[in-house]
Amino acid sequence: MRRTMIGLLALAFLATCCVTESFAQQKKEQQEEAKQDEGKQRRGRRGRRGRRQRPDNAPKVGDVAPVFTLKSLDGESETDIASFQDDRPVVLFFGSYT
Amino acid sequence: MEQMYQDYKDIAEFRMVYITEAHAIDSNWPMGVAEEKNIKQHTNFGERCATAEMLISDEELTIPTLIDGMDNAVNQAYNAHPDRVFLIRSDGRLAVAAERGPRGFSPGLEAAEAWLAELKESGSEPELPEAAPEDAGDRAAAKDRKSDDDK
Repeated sequence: MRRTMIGLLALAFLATCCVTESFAQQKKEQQEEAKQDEGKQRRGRRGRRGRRQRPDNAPKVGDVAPVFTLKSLDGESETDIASFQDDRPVVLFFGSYT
Repeated sequence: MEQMYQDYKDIAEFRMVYITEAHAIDSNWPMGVAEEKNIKQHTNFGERCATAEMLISDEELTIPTLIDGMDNAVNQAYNAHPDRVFLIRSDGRLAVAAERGPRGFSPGLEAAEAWLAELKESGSEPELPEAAPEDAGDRAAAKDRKSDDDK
């Protein structure tokens, strides 16, 4: 009888150990998964940031062209597009030497 | 650019708008031409005019040139840096609004040239496209939502 009791206790102890171990293992795996996910998200954010360009808020086809006042190289002020457009289309080349 | 101006200056106005340097020697991304010509970022309007004059002389340009102010206001209004092509119809609306930078400049020139060629041939300005595809998509989505509401 005592031997059976000892046997049962030993079994119960082993079972508890196994269950605790598997819980610990599961928890560890979950933590690792969470860490990996977080890493992925962080890399994703970095990746997107790396590729992101300056936002393009330029006027689009069909929009009314923004008016401007600029000086010409000869110093004469051309008030806006209308002042030289004269019912004709206007081609604008923006740029610099470099 | 100069060739297009020569070909179409009788039917359209052309302006080069000289803006802030894209690859000056004191920038984060200097380029060979800046080193060769010792071009620094302009610190005042006079320097900007002087660099523009150097470009016009070296490239033998005759396109009338306007100089963006040191507030870069026009560059910002058109989001033009580093370079960009626009074509404005006589009604003030944009017929060509190319992508900025080297990726967009050549296609922009081609689009402007095609538009001007059509004007020259037909005698009237090409129509604006009816609506951008995303606008059409938005309208279709709005219509779907409406028919859902009606049900």
